[in-house]
Amino acid sequence: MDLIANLSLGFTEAFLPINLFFCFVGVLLGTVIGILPGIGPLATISMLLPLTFGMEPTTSLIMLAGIYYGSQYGGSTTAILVNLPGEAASTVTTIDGYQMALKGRAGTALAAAGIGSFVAGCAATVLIALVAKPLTAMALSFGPPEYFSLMVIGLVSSIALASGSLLKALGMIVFGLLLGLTGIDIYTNKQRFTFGSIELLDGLSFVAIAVGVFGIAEIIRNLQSTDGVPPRLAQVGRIWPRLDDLRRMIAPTLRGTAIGSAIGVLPGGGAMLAAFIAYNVEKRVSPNSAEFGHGAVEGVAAPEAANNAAAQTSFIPTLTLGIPGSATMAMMIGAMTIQGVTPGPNVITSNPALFWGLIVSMWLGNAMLIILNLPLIGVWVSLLKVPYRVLFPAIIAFCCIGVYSVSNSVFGVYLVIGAGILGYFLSRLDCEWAPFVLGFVLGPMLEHQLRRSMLISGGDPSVFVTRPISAVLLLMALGLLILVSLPTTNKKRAEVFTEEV
Amino acid sequence: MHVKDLLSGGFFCGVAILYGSIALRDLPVGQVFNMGPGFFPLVLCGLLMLIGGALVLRSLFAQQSEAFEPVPWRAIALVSLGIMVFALLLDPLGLLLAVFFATLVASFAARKARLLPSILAAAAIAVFCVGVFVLGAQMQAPVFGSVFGG
Repeated sequence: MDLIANLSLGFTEAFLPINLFFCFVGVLLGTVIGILPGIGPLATISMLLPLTFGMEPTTSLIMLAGIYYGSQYGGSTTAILVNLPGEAASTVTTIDGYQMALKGRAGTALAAAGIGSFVAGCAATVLIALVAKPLTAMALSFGPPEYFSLMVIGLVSSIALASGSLLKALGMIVFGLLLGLTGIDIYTNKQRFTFGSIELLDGLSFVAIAVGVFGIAEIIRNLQSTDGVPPRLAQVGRIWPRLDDLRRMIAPTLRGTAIGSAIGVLPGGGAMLAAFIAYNVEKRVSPNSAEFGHGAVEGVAAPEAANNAAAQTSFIPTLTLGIPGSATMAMMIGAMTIQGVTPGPNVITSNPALFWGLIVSMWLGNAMLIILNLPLIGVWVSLLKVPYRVLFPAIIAFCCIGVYSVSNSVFGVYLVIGAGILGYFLSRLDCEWAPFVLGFVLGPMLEHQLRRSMLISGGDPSVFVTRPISAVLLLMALGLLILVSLPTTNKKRAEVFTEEV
Repeated sequence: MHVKDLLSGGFFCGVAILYGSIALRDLPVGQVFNMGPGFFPLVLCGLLMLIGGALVLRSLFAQQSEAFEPVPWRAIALVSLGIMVFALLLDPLGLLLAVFFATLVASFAARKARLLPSILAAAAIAVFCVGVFVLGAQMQAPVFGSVFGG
């Protein structure tokens, strides 16, 4: 069978010693950095991205995927142990996870998160393998107008996910699109917005911007809020869950997996939204709903399964269409481009070993996470005890070296300073950077497809609504935009994002 | 008046004006069926102007927002300075010393930093970075810079 053949190709590729090794390194480093409070997957990936540049494309993508899962799991660990979400997607985990920790059951919560993530990871891997082929076939039939509309819907849904004001999220998208255009225009060879700098001919360095706005800005924020004092830690306690806990975890884990898988595929559907929805659903349907908010194991298993499933299925649009659904996937696209792999429907045919190897390594990465994390929890806890004033200079050094190694020039390092300062101040104004990153990566693609569409149609903009697929996509985008700007949904949305304990 | 909205709106307008004027000056707009390099940027600048303007307008009619937290100037200045030290010293002094001085400067971004522990930590980080990135990840950077004939 096709699927079996593909997966076995994937297994051969993923089990190559070098890929196995770097998958492990990625998961390990991702967890280590992700555990540091306030450093989410975006900052982690941007910091560690440069480590992967010297590798083969497949190996480097496998390692990056490992970093992604690792950092997400690390974020959950921090959420449970110190009540600080390491990243947005584990915000929900703090609600019941920390309550469990206060009751001396942090170990069980960590195990629930780990097992939930693993189950979700297995299911999502199979799902990706199943739908990848048909989806790419569909994507190959897409013309420029369809791609344009698809990107529009991706951008619009990233607004729905921004927790702050809609106008600011829109502004950040457009700002990102605009900065993404920096460099040489491929149609006319004219320089755009380079301010006369040779270094900007290839565009603004994506890595430098990501490191600045996520890594450096985060450090400044943390220095302000903690001033280097280590957080208070909960006791871990017994790790292996009791039989009773395991039984209570089964249904929530499966529901969380289903919800997460579905939401992850949607453009703009991120791990955070998946976790929120899974938690709220679980709260309604669970027979133990009264316990929610006071340390219910379901309240940890469901959102953790959901955010991991979503993290994984969000690779589907990225790998099949070449269109990132979230800021993290935008980083993956950036990494692929740097590696010389053009993301899109052609990857699966032109580079099957990379494609299937990456998919199998997702499953492998999840397995490693659980093997690695449960025995090593003690190590992670001691890492949390390292005072921040010792850690942050090291993080800054990693950031500098990483950005330098992208192009072996210090120009990018100077860019980091600007991006860091701007990143800090704009977040202080409640402008979020995730929509910006999505816009930044999509900017050139969006313009390209717009220009091609107009060339094909002879300047007739109705091409976007006369082609059925494109029309449907644009209608969906419009509907979504109207929906999120309605006062009632807007209020609901605010509630979802601010819901606490 | 909502200060955060006012400032972010103002920022968006500023970007729109800067980029829009560059586009108008340097980049041909072209026709709809054959867009020039200036077409899409101008559309974006128009959009950004609208968004920024709406934010500014809204801020003027809103009630007073919450108090503004103080800006951590010390952290911003010293973190930036640390990164700049790295960029400036890398070529002349090489990776080892650039990392050392950069982390030393940056460590004073935390208010409770003291000199001796900072020096020790910076030295450890520098050695660690050279080990991981140059020996481990085979990064192309001189460990000792041009001053040392590296």
